[in-house]
Amino acid sequence: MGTDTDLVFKGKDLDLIQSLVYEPSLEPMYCSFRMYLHWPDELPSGISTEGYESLCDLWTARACRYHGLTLPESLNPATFTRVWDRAIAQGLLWPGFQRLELGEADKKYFLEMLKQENPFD
Amino acid sequence: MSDQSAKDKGDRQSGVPADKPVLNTQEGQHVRNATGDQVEAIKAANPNASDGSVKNWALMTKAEKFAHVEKTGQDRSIELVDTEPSGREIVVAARQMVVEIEAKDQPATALQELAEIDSRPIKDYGFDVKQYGQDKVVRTGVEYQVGQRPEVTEQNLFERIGALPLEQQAQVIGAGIKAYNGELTHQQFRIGVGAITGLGDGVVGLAQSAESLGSSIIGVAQFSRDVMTNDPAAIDTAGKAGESLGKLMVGGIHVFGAADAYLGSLGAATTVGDYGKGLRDVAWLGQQMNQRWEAMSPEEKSRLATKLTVENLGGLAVGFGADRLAKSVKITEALETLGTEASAMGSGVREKASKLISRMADELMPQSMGVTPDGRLIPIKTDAGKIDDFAAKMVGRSGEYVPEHKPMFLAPGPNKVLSKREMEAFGGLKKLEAMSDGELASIGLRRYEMSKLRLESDEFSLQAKVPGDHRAWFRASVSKDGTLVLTDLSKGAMPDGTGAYFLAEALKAHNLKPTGKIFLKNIREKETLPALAAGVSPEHTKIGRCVTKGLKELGLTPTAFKLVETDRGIDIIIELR
Repeated sequence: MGTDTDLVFKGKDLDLIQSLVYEPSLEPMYCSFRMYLHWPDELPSGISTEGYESLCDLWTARACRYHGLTLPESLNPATFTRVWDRAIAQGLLWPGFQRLELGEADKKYFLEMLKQENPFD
Repeated sequence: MSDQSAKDKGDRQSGVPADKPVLNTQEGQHVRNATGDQVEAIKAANPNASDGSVKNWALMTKAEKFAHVEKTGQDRSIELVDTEPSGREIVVAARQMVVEIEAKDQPATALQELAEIDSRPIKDYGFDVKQYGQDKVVRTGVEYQVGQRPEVTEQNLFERIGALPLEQQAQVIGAGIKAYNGELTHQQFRIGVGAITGLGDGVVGLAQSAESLGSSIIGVAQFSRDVMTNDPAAIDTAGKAGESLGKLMVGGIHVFGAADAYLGSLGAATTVGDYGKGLRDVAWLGQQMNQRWEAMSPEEKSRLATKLTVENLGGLAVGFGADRLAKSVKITEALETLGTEASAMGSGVREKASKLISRMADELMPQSMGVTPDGRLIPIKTDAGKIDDFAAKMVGRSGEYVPEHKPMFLAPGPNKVLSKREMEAFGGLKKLEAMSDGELASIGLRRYEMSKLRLESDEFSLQAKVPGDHRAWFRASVSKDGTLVLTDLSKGAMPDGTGAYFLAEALKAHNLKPTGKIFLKNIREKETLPALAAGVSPEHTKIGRCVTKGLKELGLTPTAFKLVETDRGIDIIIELR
C-alpha cells in the first residue's frame, strides 16, 4: 500500500469496494457519457460522489488499456491509467480487475454501442 | 422479640420497687462507678442487644426478610402476653411480621394510590440555564397550583385523548372534522372535548388547545378528501396533513386506529353520532399509506426507515428502533406506537418523533391526479414544494414507478419511435392516437409504451432502471449547492428516440425537478468533444439536444449552456428558466 494520498478509495468507500463480489455471469452496461463498459457488480450502493468519479476513471482506464477504446484527442488516457495503477498498488479487490479481456458477445456489444448514431436519445 | 425476651423484661421490672430510685441501690452505685471494660462486658452479655437490624431491614430483599424471620423464629414480631390465674400464658395481641412483609411488598396500584395521596395539580417550570459571565444559573422547580384554576396545554389535552378508549378517540376525531367542516360550532366541539376528557369547560387553555386539536384533525381529513376527489388543493394540504399526523400521534392519539375501530364496529353499534363520513376519509388515508408500505421490498423499507429515523431522531434512533418500523406490517400502527411512546418523553423527543412521523407520512401518502393544459391526467406530486430540500438530503424514491402515458409509435425496421415530424407524415399525433391497434398495424405501425421504472436511491445517488432491460440506466446526484448532477443516462434496449423521455420520467419519478441549473458531468463522448472543440453550440450536440428535449417534457426551458473543460472531459452546465 502507498501513502494516504496514493489511495484511490478510502474510508467507507474502500470498505464498500472491498466488499464487492465478482459475478462472472453478469452482462455489461454501456456508459454513453464516457464510452466504457461496466458491470453491475463493480458499483457498490452508497459510494460517495468522489468514489464514483474514481470508479469512472477506472472504467475509462480499463476501456483504454484493455478494451480498445480510443479517447477523443483532447483527453490524455494517462489521466485515467494512472488511477488504475494506483488502484492496483492499493491492492483493491475490485471485481473490475477480472474483466480485462472481453468475451465475443461483450466485444460485439461494445462495438455496436460505439457505432450507434445517437447513444443518448 | 421472642416470648422469652418479653418474659425477661417482665421479670426485671418486677425485681425493683417502683418507688425506689435505681441509682440509690447498691447495685446502682456499682453500675455508676463501672469501668469501661465492665460496660463493654455488660453490653456483650445483653441478650436484647441490637444487631443493627432496624437499619438493615429496609435494605433487605423480600427473600432475605423471610429467611431472617425463619432463622430467628420471629414470625410474630410483637406480642402482648398475659398470664391467666392458672399460670398459663396467653397472647393478647401480636403483629404478624410475615403478613407485614407481604403487605409492604405489594406493588402500589400506582395511579389510584398516588391520587389518594396527593391529587393537587403541579406546575412544572421546566429547566433553564443562563450564563452570567463564567457562572451558570440553573432555574427550575415545580409548585402546587393550589387555589389556581386548572390549566391544560395542547400536549396535556392530546395525551388525555390518547389515553381514552379508541371509540372515544374516534368521537373526538369525528367531532373535530365536523366542527371544522362547519357542521358543529367550535364551541360545541370544545365543550364536547372538555366533557369526554373530563376536563370540563372552564379549564384555562382548553379553547386554544382544542383549536389546535381540531386544526390538526382537519389537516389530515381535508388532505384525504382532496386526494380522493383529485382536488389540486391537495398540493397545499399535503404538507399540513403530514405535520398534523405527527402532532396528533406524539400526543398518543391513534388517528387511524380509532377511525378503523369506529368504522369496523362501533359506528354501527352505537348512537354516539354519525362521524362515519369524516372518519372514512381518515381511514382511507391510512389504508393508502399501508398499501404503499406493503408494496415496498424489505430492503426499501429498511433503507427508508433507517434514513428517516437517523435524520430525524439522531442519537435516539437506536432506542426507537428503525428496525421495528422497517419490520412493521402496517406502518400506520407502527407510527402510532412510536407516537404513543414518544408522548411520555420530553418535548425535545416528541418534536423529533413528530418530524419522523411527518416525513414518513409524506413519503407514503397518495398523490392526487391533475389534468395538464393539454388534457393529460398526471399525478400531482404532494411534496412538489419541497423538491429542493428533498433532493439535497438525497432521500430518493424507491420502488416501482409507472411512467406517465405518452403516445409513441414504432415504425417497422429500426428500433426507433417516430419523431414528431415523422408522425406528421401519418396524419399527426392525434390521428395516430385515435387509431386502433389493427388500424395502426395496417399502416405498419405499432404502439410503444415505456415499461415501469424501478427506482433506487442511496446516500449519494438516485437511480432508475427498467426491469427486464438491465442496460437502461439513469443515475444522478445532487451537489452541495443543490444543483442536479446527471452522471449517467443509457436507454439500453429501449427504442431510439426514447432516451429523453426516459430522462424526464426518471426525474419525475424521483421528484427531481431541477431548478436553476443542471450539470452534465465528465462528458467524454467521441462526437461531443470534437463538436464542441469545433465551435458547435452545446445545445446542438446530440447530448445537448437529448437533455433539452427531456427538460421540455418537464416544462423546463434551458436558457444558457456553459462549458467547463477539465482533464477528465467537459462539464456542461445548463441554466434553466
